[in-house]
Amino acid sequence: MREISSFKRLFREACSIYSVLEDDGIPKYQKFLNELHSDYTEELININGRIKSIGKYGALEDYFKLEEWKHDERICCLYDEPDSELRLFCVRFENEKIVVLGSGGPKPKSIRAWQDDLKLEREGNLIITISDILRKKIELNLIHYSHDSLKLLGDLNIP
Amino acid sequence: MNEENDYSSEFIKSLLPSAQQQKKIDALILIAAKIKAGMKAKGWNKSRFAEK
Repeated sequence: MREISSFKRLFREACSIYSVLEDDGIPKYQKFLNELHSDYTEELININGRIKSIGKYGALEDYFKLEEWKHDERICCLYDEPDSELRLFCVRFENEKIVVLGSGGPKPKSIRAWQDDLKLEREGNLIITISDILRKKIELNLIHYSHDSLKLLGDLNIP
Repeated sequence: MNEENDYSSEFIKSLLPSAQQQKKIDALILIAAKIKAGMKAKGWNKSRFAEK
């Protein structure tokens, strides 16, 4: 069973950053960093800077590449520069105060859409599923926001 | 479990921008947000550009 968990010691003035935990308890985002740090060091430093910035100023639209997701406009990608290869899938809540990081990878210029790459397709579909589950749980009051809207409280397990 | 993960591990620290890089990232985003807010206030949007 997966769950989502927040990162501590990130700026929390404006937005909290969550990541999806794998069965082994390691955040998917950490695995994303582990997998790619030797080939994409500068890009990852930039993405981490953007995440810190989001914590300070909120999950403004400008940080994200908003894909045309037909059924869920909360799903988006973080990237380091507009023409770069790396994509990090995430869920951005409407209140701009909570972001859930998934995983991702490089999107080669040779492919048109992330669905054309096996790993990106897997990670993209996973974040869609997670978004659906979180939305449903919020509707059912199994998850609710804290008073300052900076935390998700309740059942954060992802079956 | 829902415990918080530690974002300050040595590994992650090694992948954080310097203070100067961070300032630059912050500034670029804030400028973009300001420009967009200004455009919205004037009634400009992407579709309007597309029409032209």
